[in-house]
Amino acid sequence: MTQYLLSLLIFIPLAASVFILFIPEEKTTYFKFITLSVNLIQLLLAMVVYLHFNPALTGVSNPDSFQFVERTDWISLQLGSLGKLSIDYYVGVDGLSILLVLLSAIVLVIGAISSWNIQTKHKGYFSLYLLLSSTIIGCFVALDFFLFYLFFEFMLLPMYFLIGIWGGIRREYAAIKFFLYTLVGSIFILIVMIGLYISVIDPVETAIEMGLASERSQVTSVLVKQVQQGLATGGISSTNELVHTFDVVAMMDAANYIPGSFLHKASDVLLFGISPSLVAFLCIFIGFAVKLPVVPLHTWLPDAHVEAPTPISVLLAGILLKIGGYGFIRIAYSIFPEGALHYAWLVALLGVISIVYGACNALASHDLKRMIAYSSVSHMGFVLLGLASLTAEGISGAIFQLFSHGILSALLFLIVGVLYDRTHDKQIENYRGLASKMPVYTSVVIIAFFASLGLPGFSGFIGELFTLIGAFKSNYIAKWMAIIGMLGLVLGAAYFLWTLQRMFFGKFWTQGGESWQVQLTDLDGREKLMLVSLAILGVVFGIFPFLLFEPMAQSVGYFVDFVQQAKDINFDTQLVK
Amino acid sequence: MFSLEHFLVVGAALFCIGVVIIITKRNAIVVLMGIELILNAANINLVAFSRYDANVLQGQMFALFVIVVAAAEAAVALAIVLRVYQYYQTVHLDKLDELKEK
Amino acid sequence: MQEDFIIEFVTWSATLLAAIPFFIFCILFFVGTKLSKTSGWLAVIGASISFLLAVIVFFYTWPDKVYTQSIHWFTVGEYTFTLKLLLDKLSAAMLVLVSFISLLVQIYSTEYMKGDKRYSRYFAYLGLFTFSMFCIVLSGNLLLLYIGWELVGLSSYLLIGFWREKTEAALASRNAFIINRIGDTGFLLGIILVFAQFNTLDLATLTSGNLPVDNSFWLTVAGIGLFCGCIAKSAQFPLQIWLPGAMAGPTPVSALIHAATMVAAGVFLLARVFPLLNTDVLTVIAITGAITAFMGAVAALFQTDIKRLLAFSTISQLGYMVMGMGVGAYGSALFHLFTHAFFKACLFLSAGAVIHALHKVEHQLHTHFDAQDMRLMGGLRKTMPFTFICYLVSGLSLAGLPLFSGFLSKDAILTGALSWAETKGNFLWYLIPDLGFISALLTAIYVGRQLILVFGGEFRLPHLLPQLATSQIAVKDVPFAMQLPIGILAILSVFFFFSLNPVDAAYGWFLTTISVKTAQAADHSWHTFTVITSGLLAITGLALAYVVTGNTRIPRPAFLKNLSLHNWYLEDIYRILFVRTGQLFSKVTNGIDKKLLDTIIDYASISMVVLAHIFAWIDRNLVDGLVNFAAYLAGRIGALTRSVQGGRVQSYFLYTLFGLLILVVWIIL
Repeated sequence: MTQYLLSLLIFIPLAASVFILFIPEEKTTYFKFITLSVNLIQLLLAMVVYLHFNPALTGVSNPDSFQFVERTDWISLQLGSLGKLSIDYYVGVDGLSILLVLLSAIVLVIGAISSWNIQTKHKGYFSLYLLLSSTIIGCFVALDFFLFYLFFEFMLLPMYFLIGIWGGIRREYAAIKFFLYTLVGSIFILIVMIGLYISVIDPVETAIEMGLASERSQVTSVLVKQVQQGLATGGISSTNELVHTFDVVAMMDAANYIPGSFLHKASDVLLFGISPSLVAFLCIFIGFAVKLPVVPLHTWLPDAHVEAPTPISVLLAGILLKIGGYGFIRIAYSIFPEGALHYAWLVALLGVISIVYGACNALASHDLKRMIAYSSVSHMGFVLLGLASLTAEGISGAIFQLFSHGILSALLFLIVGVLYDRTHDKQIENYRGLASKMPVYTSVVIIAFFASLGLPGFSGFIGELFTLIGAFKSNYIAKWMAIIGMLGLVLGAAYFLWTLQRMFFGKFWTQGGESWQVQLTDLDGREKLMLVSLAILGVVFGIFPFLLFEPMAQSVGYFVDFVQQAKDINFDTQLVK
Repeated sequence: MFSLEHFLVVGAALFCIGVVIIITKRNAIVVLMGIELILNAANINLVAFSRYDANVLQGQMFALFVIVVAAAEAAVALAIVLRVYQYYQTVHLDKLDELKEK
Repeated sequence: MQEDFIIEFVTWSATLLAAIPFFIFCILFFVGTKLSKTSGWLAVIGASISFLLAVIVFFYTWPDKVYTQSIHWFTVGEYTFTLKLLLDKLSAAMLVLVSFISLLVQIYSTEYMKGDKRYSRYFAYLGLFTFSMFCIVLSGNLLLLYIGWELVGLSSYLLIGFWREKTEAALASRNAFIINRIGDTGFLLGIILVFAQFNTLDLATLTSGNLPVDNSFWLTVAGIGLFCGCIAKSAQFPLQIWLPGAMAGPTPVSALIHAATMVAAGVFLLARVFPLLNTDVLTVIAITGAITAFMGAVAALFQTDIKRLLAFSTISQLGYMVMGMGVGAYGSALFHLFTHAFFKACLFLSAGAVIHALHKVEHQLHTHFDAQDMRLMGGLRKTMPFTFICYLVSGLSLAGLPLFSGFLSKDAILTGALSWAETKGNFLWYLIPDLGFISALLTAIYVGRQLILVFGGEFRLPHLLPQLATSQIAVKDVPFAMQLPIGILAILSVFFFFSLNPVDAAYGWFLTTISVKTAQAADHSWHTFTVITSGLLAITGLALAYVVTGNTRIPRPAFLKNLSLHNWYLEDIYRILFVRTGQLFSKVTNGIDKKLLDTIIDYASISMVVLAHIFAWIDRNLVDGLVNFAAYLAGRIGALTRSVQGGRVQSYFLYTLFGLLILVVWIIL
């Protein structure tokens, strides 16, 4: 029964997205309800996946312990002396991705509810929204690099239009900036993807091609070992029999690399004076760093957020940034663990810079949405710091932070949306003493702000705490970096509380005078539903963090060990050689 | 007695007159007459040279053919000239420059 | 069997007493507006139950039982974090203190906050505070303690900014939280370093003293980090500036949070982690404490706001406690925490009574004046006799007059400091106890000054508001619900509650039990000296205050006055040093973002466009030019040949002839 869950998660919204195109434009409520119900189904399915998930299975680099796996040949081409090209429809989840699937489903539902007051071009909007829903989930469950890249790129398309058409005043600028940034990032990923494709074979498919077995299920681990042995010793002479693959899991196994190939771990070719696999790591890093975003590749984020309509900001901050973090874990760190170890200091440094830099920028922002966007940069810095630590605490903390920030930033952007819907203005200086006018709203804002600045009892605290613990425990990060990173906690409190004090406390006053006074009404039912449910989630995961730590524990432990194994590859001796 | 040279001179003179008429005259009919002169110059030559072919008289035979063809040609050409006149209301050749690319 | 039952009973009671205020918070937060007046009484009932349970727990625990209870919370990596309850004599005593003062303050508040728009919300926040404070007191590991620590920060923030329409309240609450956050970050750093070092956060394990120390440098940093938490929360130098601002909150809150309990949590923390602190850290603590005590006392000297003065005195007294911890007088410091909690809470509540009474007048007269300005008061001993007596008792206790509790505890700390300085050898170390003694003198002076300004002389307000003298309206003493807590606290400020010997508490019930833990037992050789000196200092100070106050002929050094009024100009220094630079820095980063990064991006895209235009030009002119040239050439050639064709038959004929001629010539030749 649970066999096709992931495919359902991907294809139901895709089908709905096409279906919507056949409904006449004027049936606007149909679009809304179809979208919402599809997203609710997604959430339901994601819950089922979460509940049926077996936390004892590790996943990561072990193809047998992925769960809900579906694998079918998709594109298969015999390229003569270039070997055989094999692209699979290969999806599955492990402890590293399960939570992000759940998060996406939650945020997508919230986004759908928040899309309720989209005013124009409903058909296009909801169709694109559903397309986005499909690709986001696809991105998190794809285990074939090609498939991942496809989903990754396909996310850009709806995003570009959603910002560019339904956005604010400078929407075209923001949309193009967003598009170019991420496109440049994905080119780096594409380069490495091709490099990997040339270097890596799928031992299972190769065994079938060699006639050792007739289908996947017959290939035993002994046979796989045999193929890998043959590959290493040059026993497989005919290149016709090598099946090149985009299988991410196969890429993690050093034995699957063709000897002498470009990215082979022991390759003594140097590129820009360093080993090609380190260059590849850096390329992938840049690609995902744009998405996360990491200073100095972050300037698309504030603009995109400021101009995007509220639900799209919610998705952007709530999910799309997470794909950057997920990409680091699944692709960059898993495939190039040697790079992860070698450049841990760099990753940590960028993380620390992002934390402090983002926080300072948030402090200087005059636009509420821009401030929150910069706070995202700062919070994502913690993710980077945790990842760089390469300790179980740090990685768990980073994933937790991804999840928690997904919830909390969604909450924050909805809060801005509430204000923007009423007055179409989000300048901090234009409001004062909102507390007396909108008491319920103010309570929610206080909760959201304190949750985001890492008050214990909310999920943000756990994430930040464990990334920092990881950073201090790590052998790869200097302690001073972690100490500077802690500065982010103080600055976080500073910009959130300053904003709170400026906008919500004191005597009521607004820039808009009388007309705003009428427009500024307290929350309505729909807004309360969204805000309160997110706030509750923030508290639940803050008080019961094991809900998130438990599913990922085994995978994270395995992941840390797996990456640490790459210590044996010593680049300095290679350079001497 | 006339020698061959005399005939050839007359023929050449006729040819030259014909050519000059063709080149210089504007009226199409006059030009046709010039053509006639050239044909006749050729005929004179043919007849003159047929002296060396007393047995078969091929030259004279040819001259006869030429006269016939010239008559036919004159008929056709005059018809064309008439059509041209009808169409253009003129037979002046320098006004008829339709061949030139406009 | 019996034993097991007691353990279960005590730990459950402790859990329950902590949970009650939380439930009250939840109820009042969500449905409080519907309850309106009853919410106050609901809170009081809850606090009473908590207090009763605390007393029960106390009697089961005191003097030397230890109860623990823990449940698994979550696992990360190899370490399982637990929710652990640790109940020993320290926490039991703190439980009673917190629940007791919380109860009194809530009784007091039912009257004080009467008629406030957000009456129920106020009690909700008080519930949250009490819960978080219990959380600190009961927690058996540092993580849980930190959680409580931050939550008291939150409730303090909410309560300082309770009247959120007032700009200064909003500013003060923000400053308080941010400054506390600085300390908390240091605290968190300490916790993380401890965790990284020992791989445990369990207090019992950490303080057992048998953990291997492999890196003493980072342990010192961790110790300093933990102390940072104390610096901020207990308003120590250099982070004491938030506490005077915190007086913008309602006065009962000042009594509960910013005098008796939360600010003392820093001292409690030091007591909790005492075995983890090495000599270097302790020295830093002692110096910080002494400096704070002195600075606070100086700042209190010239204040005119009744609450601000008390706030500075709190800072100074907290300095004593911290100094006590630093010099190893562990028990004495805790003792002072307790005595101070009572007399300072009493002082604040009495001050609140005065303010409340004056507010009433203000309200009845439909006018506006600063009800907290001591220069407007005076002579209130006649109109508010009960408040006066309580204020006098607790004030004298604060001044450290013999026969009062403050004398006992301050004495104990100073004795400890002297013996500590003696062991240090170098006479410079005597500066620390000396600062303590000077502060004691200053304390007596400002207490005397305040007593005289508020209660002595004649009522000065009618000078400002002549209609007050003519009208029937008069200042009246406060209602019973406010008098009761004040009275109880005043009684507890007298010596006999803690020790039957009025000059030495070392053998009193409290100090004997609590100070067992002390590594260096207090040396009593200094005791007699201390008793006499501090007693004399207190009397001198009070006498000095009596002479100077109101006597305008005695010159006051302007420099000292400004220094005191502006709290050593710390706020201005920080504004320039940190706030300005912080703003500048954030402006710079913002500039980098907008001017540099965005410009780079923009220029990159612009240069791409320019490049594209260049290519387009090349395309248009070079490549297309070549093609066009070929076509042009062909065209020219065509035109050349075409020009021959005039369209005239005759010229054609001429050409043909000409060609023929050439042919003939060529053949002939």
